Amino acid sequence: MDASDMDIIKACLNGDTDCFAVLIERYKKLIFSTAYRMLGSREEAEDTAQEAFIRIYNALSKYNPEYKFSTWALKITTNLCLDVLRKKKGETVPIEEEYGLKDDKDTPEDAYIRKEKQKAVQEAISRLPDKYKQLLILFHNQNLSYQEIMSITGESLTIVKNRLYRARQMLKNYLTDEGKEGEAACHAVK
Amino acid sequence: MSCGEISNLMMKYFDGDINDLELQRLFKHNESCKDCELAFEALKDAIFAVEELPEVEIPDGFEAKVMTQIKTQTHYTIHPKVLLFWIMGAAGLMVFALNLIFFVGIPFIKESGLFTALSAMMSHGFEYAAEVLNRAIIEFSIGISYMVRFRDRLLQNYTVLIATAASGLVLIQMLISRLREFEENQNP
Repeated sequence: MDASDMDIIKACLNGDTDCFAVLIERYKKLIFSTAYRMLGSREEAEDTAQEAFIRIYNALSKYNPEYKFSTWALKITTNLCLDVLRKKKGETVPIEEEYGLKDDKDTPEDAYIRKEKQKAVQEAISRLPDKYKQLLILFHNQNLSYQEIMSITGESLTIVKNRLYRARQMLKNYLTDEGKEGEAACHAVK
Repeated sequence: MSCGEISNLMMKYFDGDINDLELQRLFKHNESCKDCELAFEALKDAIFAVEELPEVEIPDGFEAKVMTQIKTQTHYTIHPKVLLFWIMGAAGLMVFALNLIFFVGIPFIKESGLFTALSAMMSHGFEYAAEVLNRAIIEFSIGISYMVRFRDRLLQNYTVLIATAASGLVLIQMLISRLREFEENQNP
């Protein structure tokens, strides 16, 4: 199981398809969570992540070992996500309940507040323009470097920085507006 | 220090490459500038919220699903949209080419008189070719007639020759027989 990514890729290219399962095991978390954060729906994220792995498999011969495998895989995944988002442009998808893993130690009330907040954040992300969404998730959720993001998006450092700047500002605006709207709604009820 | 520069420092902060001096300037400015402080706090909340989003659970049997899809997939699939794109592209190009021929190419040739020139050249060419052909046929028949005449002449001379030779031979024969008869008559 400790074979390097490159060894596995070579084995796959030599016809040992089953080896690819190891790569899926290694990167499924990265691919799936990125797709989920970009698309906001588990079902779509699952379909897209599957499709992404199939594309990765079919394109293995084109993999350039100069880059990290994760960077290359993320490039394929985020491009696919951007396609999916473009196709369903205009459709509003309800944001689902968050699937958190760290709920156990919270009181039910805290857990509820946290889930609501996560939902709001995911909703704010989904309102961002697609390319901003991609950058914000890659940089702040998957903790990639500017260098990696540049090779994923194929954009220059200036463009990446500018987009990320605007993405942060928009996210902030959405979240503070959301808060205000929420408060306004509370006052209205009272 | 202006609020614009502070905004840049904030971005450096969230990029994670702010140095101590810049950090101090940022905090110092924010102490005196309410707007920037509020903006900074709101940004920090928003970005931390994104960073703190929980890890998502992977659906059960994810790998198995991908592996079965990989093993059962048909190779060399063409996406229908891509196919449509190419077909439309080719059709468009053909329509464009036809239009170009009908509405640009042909009128241009007509206008420029190239068409009439070409047809004149062609008819002239046909005439010339016909003439050459005609001449060839005539020459050929004349040649044939010459050859026939020559053959006839040859044959004619041959028969005359044969006839003279034959008659000469007959005469000689007759002469010889007469001479023999004459000899027999002289010495019986």
